[in-house]
Amino acid sequence: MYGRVSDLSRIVANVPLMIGMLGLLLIVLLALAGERLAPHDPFVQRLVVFYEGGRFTTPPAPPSERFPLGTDILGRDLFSRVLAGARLTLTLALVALLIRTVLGVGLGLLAGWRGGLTDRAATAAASVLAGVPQFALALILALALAPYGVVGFAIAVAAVGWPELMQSVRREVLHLRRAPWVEAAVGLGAQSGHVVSQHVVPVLAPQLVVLLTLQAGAVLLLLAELGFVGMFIAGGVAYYGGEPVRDHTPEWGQMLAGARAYRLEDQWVVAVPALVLVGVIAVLNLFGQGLRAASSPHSPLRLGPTTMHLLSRALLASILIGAAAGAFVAFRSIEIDFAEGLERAHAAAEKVEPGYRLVAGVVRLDAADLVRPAKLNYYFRSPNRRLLRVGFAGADANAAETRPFHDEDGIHDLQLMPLGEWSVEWEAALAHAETLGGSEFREGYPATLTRVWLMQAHGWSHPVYLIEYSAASVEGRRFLRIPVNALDVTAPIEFSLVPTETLIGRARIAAFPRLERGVITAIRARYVSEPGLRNELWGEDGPAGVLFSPPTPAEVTMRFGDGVQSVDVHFDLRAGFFLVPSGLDPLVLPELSESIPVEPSVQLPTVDLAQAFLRLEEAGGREMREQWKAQGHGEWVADMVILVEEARLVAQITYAAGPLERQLRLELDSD
Amino acid sequence: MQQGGASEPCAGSPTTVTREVGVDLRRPGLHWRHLGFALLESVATLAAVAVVVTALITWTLAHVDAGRLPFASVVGPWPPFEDLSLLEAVAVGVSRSAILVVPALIVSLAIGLLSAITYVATSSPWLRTLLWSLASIGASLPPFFWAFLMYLTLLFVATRTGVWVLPSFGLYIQGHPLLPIIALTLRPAAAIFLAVTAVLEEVQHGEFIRAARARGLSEQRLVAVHALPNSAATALSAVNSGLFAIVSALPIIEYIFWWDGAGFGFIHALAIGDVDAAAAFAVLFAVVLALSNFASAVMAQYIDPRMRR
Repeated sequence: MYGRVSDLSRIVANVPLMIGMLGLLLIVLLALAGERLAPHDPFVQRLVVFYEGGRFTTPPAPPSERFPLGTDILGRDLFSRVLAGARLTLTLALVALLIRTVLGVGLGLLAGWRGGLTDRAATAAASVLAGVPQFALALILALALAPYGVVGFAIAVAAVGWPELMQSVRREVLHLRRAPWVEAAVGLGAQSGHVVSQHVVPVLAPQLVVLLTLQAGAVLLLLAELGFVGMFIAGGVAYYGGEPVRDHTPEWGQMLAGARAYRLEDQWVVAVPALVLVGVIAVLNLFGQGLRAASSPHSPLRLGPTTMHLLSRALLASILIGAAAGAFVAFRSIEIDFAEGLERAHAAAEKVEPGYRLVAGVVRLDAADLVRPAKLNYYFRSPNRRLLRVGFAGADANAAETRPFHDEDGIHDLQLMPLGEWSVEWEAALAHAETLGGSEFREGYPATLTRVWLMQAHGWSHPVYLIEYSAASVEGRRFLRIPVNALDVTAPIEFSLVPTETLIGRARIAAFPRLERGVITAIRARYVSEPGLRNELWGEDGPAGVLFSPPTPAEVTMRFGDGVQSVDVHFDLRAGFFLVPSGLDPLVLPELSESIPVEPSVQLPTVDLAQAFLRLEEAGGREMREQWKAQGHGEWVADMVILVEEARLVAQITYAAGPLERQLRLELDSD
Repeated sequence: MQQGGASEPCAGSPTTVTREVGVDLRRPGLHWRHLGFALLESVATLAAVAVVVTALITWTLAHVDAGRLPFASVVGPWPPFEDLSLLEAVAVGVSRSAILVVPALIVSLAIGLLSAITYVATSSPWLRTLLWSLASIGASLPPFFWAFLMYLTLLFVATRTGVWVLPSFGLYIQGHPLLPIIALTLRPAAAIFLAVTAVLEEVQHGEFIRAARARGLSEQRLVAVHALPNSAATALSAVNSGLFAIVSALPIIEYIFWWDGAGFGFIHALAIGDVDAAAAFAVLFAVVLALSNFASAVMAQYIDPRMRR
């Protein structure tokens, strides 16, 4: 006989089962609380990763006290991403497992019990699917179902594993059909459904739990393999045609993506998610092996029938309930509307830094669909005038991206003020714009992209929807922009012309991240003179007299060496840059340039570009320019680059005036 | 009863016993009808796989821009199969993959069987625990893990020392295939060990073993003469499953190590939008698996007379 005490001791002695159970507890904890335990925001990207004492590196950053597992190539904390990715990864695995279970167990029961044509049809379908390697078939299916997002991906992962499950269940049911208690129930006139549910499934339960546990491991393995070749659920860093595509919610499979495109020295970045995935797969497989030993009649670790049935039923119920709950949560939260997105964006902005205020919301719509947004973007500005964009690709809550200093829609936030109250929904504003020429424009240009901006510029007394239709045509790019009052679509827009509070040149920060690690090789300031006003906000079709864009007298660029991939990454909070008033001669720069410190605890390595420029001027630049002027070349352009060469800061400037060009170099003292 | 005679079975022969007792003890021949059906079934399944997979790949590649697939830029152009006809490309893929598959299968069978025999024959509990634990870990971790682990280890060594210990990856380097073979071997070896050990343990409790033991047979002879032949069918089934696991893991393992076999060819064909090549490689996997299943069915009948009834 098997007593409870002896069963308990057998469970304790069953090492794989014990490891599996403890591991499963940890996994459940990760899935439930992973995101809350993350020490950093898993979405925040860093152009430069700074450490205490002013040390810094370009991502990927190796493990350190600040980032225990290092950062990925976008500077996002890997530890936080692993924790935050647990929920989506495990939910996806559970959903795929649920679909596999329904198909495999359902068809297995049906084929085994009914036999005949049903059996042959189910077995043939299973044989065809099992005839191709799972990974290969899942890869094709994932590509085919890619447009259907998370649902398509879950179907691709689920569609390939069920034949094994079905064949195992079918085999067992064929065997159990001849069991005396089953024959007795049939003989007594019980319905097939009753016999299967009451006399077959309970006997199958222990084996089902083992099979499902192993299947869960197989699903995760498939996620890892697909992720490694760049197929994943929620975006990430993948390379499409050589161009990096980056974003979105962390997911373990996705974190393996693009590994092949990394430099050899950076391959360890994918080791973190790979080890986590393999650890979870191993836990599941060990748990399955332990359960198999506990249910095997010849095993010394076998448990008594009562304990085994209790255990298997509890586990089966947990798997099914967890999968159903996960599916409900995952699929329910796929699509969000503008208001839900705003709520989530506010929460994301608060996590980056309290005090951010909404300055604009943008709904992007594809040509084919004016109902479902292709993307939702929310723009926030901090009290220190830092811009933050929180976006949701496909209006998908799982595809969030948080990027400081990133203006994807050309909103020119410095001309905007925090949004006041609005009462009109974007759909109503769009509908109104359609009647004011929008639909005609779209008929003329079928490939029209539509954007709905919600914003409030300086001088406006209320928020305004600006609906922009844009299309490429043989005559060039065509735009139509229609402003709509966000309080009442039929009311006129009220505004008064006031000067913008500060005319500030836009500082552009560009970086080339896949370069020599840990060395800022250049900070470039380009001095150009571009007088005149540009009406970037309204375009040529805008109301007369509404001019908000300042001229662009200076452009400051931070470069990180000679990049292979030129990717703009306007994001790092600690990347100091210079605000340059407009319309001023470069020589006046010293009094007006400033850098923006972000974290008081971090010593920002700054270079005063203006001082550097002046010193170069004094070192011969000015004299040379005067000579050129005497020769008839009075207009000039100077590109200055601050280089880090062997731990020394070097300023290098290239003057150009017409056909003349000359370079000067000067060693600087770093500050 | 008339004795002897060329046409008469001798006394005690299965035929005589059959006639006298009514129990058929003759070793039946191969069940050709059954095998014929199995062959037909395999061919029909293959045809269905070919139709389904080709249709799926054709539809998929018609709806996606192959040049923008996530792995397109990683796998690059098509040098190993460049300027080859489809048949030649498949032949090259098969020959390159065979370099991995055949040794992996043989080594996994050898390791699995030898360790199972050692497990049953040894009296050392430590050795048994060690073997069982290693097999449990081996069976729990997929080839992808081993491949990735070895890949990272090699990279670590290479970036620290500048030496490529085993230049087995790099598509343009015909390096040696040790790492992918190891990655493909470990899990099937563990699975064969666990399957054969389970049968051997079960057979050990059989009445005929107890009888043989009571008659003084040594443990080694018991295992060799009685237990092992009884586990042959299970070992065969495990080998078939092992081959299935190896072929299934082939695309990802070849992708990790950039081994220009059929698995890499399949991913490569998808990446460049070559429907014919992608379908050909996918069907090739199905052919190998179907052949393996059929060969397994024939050998199972050959090894185990019980299967012929």
